[in-house]
Amino acid sequence: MKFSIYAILFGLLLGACKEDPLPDSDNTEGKDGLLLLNEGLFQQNNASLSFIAEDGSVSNDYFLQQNGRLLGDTGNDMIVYGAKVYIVVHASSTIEVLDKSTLKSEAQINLQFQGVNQLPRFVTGYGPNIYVSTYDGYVNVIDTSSYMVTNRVEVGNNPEGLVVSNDKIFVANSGGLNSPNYDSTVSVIDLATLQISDEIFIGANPGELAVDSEGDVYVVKRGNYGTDLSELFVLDAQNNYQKSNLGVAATSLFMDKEDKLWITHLNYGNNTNNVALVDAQQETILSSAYIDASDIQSLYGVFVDEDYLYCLDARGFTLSGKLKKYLKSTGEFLEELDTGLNPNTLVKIKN
Amino acid sequence: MKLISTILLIFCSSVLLSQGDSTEVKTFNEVQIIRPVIPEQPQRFTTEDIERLQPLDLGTMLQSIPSVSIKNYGDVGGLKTLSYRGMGAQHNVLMVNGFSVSNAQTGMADYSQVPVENVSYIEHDVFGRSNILPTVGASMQGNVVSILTKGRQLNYSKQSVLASYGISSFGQHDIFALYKRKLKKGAFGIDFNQRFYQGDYTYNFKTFGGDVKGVRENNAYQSSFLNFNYIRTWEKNYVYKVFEVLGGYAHIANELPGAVLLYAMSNDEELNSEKGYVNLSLQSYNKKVKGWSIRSRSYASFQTDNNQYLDPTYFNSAGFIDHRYQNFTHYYGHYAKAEKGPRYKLNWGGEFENNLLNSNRADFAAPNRLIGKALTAGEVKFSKYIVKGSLGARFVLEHNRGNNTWRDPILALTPELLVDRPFLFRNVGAFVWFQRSFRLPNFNELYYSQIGNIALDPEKVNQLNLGVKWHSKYTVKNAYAQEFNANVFGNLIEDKILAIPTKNLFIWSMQNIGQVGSLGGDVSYVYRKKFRNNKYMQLNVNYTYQRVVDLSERGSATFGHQIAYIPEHSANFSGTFEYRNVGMTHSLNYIGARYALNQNIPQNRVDGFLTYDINLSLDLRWNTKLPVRLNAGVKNVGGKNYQYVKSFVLQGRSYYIKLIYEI
Repeated sequence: MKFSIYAILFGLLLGACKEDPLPDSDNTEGKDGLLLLNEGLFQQNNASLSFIAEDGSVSNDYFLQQNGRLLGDTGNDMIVYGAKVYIVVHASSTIEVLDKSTLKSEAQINLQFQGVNQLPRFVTGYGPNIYVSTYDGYVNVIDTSSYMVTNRVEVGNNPEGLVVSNDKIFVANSGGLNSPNYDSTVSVIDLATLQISDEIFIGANPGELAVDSEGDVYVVKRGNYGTDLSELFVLDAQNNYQKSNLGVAATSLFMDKEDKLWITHLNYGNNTNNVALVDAQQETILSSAYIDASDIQSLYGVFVDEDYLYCLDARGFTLSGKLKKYLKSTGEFLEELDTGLNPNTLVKIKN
Repeated sequence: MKLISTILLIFCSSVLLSQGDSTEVKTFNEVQIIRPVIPEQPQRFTTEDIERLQPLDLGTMLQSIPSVSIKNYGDVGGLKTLSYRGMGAQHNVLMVNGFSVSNAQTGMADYSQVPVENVSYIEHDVFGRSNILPTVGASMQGNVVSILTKGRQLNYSKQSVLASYGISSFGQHDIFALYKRKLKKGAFGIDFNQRFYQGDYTYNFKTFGGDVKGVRENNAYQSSFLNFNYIRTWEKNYVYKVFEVLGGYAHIANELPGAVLLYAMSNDEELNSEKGYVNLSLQSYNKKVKGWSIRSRSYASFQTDNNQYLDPTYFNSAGFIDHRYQNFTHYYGHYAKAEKGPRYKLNWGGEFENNLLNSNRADFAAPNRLIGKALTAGEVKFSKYIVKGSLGARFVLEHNRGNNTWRDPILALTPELLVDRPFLFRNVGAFVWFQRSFRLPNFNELYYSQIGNIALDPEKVNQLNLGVKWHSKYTVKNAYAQEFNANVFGNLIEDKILAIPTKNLFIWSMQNIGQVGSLGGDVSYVYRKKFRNNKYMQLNVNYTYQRVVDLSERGSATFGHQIAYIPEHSANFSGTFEYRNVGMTHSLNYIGARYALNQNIPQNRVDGFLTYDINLSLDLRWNTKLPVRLNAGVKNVGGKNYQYVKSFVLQGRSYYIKLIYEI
């Protein structure tokens, strides 16, 4: 009798080994479309990419499909720079470098310093380098030919967004890991000397940045998510980066090619969402509510191309997300697509 | 004679069935077999069961109980919490030697931090049928994991010594020593337990997207436990009294490897804990009042639980985190059970509990929780039915000494009803049971930095169970026995407390979110037979099906989806075969597929797994004068690195050998 029981249970063991097959790699070169970074959830190793082809078809888990391995834990930022796509994977402490044509990984840059994960946050490109903010309080200069860190510039606490304006890098120092005693500054790094040239007071918990064609820098002050409310400031490049308040609440920014600043805001108090539009040239608010965002649960980012506005809905941060598509000219809702968990950054791939 | 009576009474007060191997215990066991079929006995493990399975810790042992899911974050030292039929870890109580272990900061027991070397008996009681006299609080909570220690168990000889040393793979060493001495009117015992675990192991596990390989680092664990007990007994006018003092100290240094994060360096965090307790109990038996025989217990408990969380490389302005928390709990209560003839039983009791928490964090509260508890219960045996009902009440006041504010008072009632038909036909019995209970939000959920939410309501749960049991006819000295149990259940959890991201992915907050419903069933079968030629065989098989789903918001993406980390299917098997002084136990534990998040999509699926252990024993007392037993075995024979919780990989195949000396 015991042998038959064992046989049944071992059968269970073998049955438990069934696997789902991996999707085949797409070897087509020069594909155009949209590439979406899904942040995933901390400690779940489920950051992912979604590729939206020009015909509207969506391939989720695209990094896995193309590379046969996972992207890592907590994808935080992504840019297209030159012929490469750079993806910041925060908890894995890596920068994935993709070939823009094949969207396959060419290199994985591990950001550790003296045996400690540096925890990268945001990336921007300028000249032969990319610049990556890391939570250990540095901006890392990475050579795009060798993928080596060539310099580290110390800034404030837990730096987040960074942009380049007039040969300077502006970095938002959030101090998020000192909560509730946030940092409140933007550090300015002179690109020629890689020295801190200025420090600008913004207010509690600066986050994302954007820059317009005149070099004006827009800074999201996130506040303390409670009594200290979110605000959006502009640093005027023509006036020694004097600060002024645009009077708009913001959580994330997108500057389009026409110098229109698209501003998303997720109100944590009443869980409502909003997309506002600012004319960056005139620094005037064109619309305080550009779309009907009542169907969006957790607005986590925005992207605009020539014709369309895309809103990234993280849907409470524990569900697979939605990419909602609107007509740019009118804000009319067109369609929504299923994405990975917590979509946060969308870029256009044009070969 | 008086002494033997007293010993039996003390033992009766502790445990229904035998967990030792002394003659007295066997005598007691034979007395118990005249009882009728009891369909709802607690799930239980005796000393022999524990020794046969050689579990890593209490959590590993409990995972073989039907309907129990042990959320396992690691092997040695990895957090292990218990979920029963989809209820959270805070819905169960750990009771050691009749005293509930309390930590209001987390509200739950970590079953990885309970070594089993010193444990003589384990039970999991849901339907309030245990014979261990509980605290009032534990009795109201239901869902009680209760253990009795060897150190506290009375010795029947002048003195006894038990010592063991075990060595296992991955640098694990277990040392245990126990000394007990019988006194003129009682007994004294002291025991010491130490575990070292180096903890580095290679892993290779499958996840959505392929294999993940690496080395588990920052996984060392070291624990030391020292316990003592003093028992004094006396009798006056045939009323027997037992006074107990139990105390102990534990120190645990636990490196925290965290989740396996792809491509990242390992963590360097640590958790250091110091725990201490002094428990006092005065029990009285056989007091007669107007035809009622009363058994009662007055008790007091003082417990400290201090924890230090250390992250030496945190990127705040200090450059590290050193958070310290001091929990202090004390409670006092009285519990009584009265019986009038075979038909009537009455229980009543009251308890006052005080939980205090201090920490070195500026952004944490200094809460002080005061709880008054009262319980009354009655049981009537009719010719065919047993009906039992109880009503518990808790009144809770909570003061934050940090900002001198009070939370709204809470008054919550816990009704329970059991209707038992011991003999439905032949040896088949059936029962139906209902309970509405709740659990309080813990201090972390209420006050932890930005996560806490002081507006949280208690989480309520309504439990309904229909059970059937078949028991073979008892034979002399239990030479042969079979038991079959089956339960179907339906639970509804209201105001479930969940952490959800409300600000961004790094800033979550505790909220009362909707409802969780569970429907399912479990079946278990036990077969025991002692053969004449010194052979013994025991088989245990159980299977659980539990559909535990989110019912919060109809039309939402997770409505009707299985709750995270509750396997729909789970099963256990163990088979023991003994011949003379040699024994072999095979055990298998199957955990079905689970989801890491409440949305049941392939990306969130965590594969099921089955582990297989072999344990061998050799008792040298059989044919030599050596008072020595030897255990050896292989854990996780298949050698695969499984993950119960996504990204928390368990160790692969391990070997152990253990030497036990007992006089």
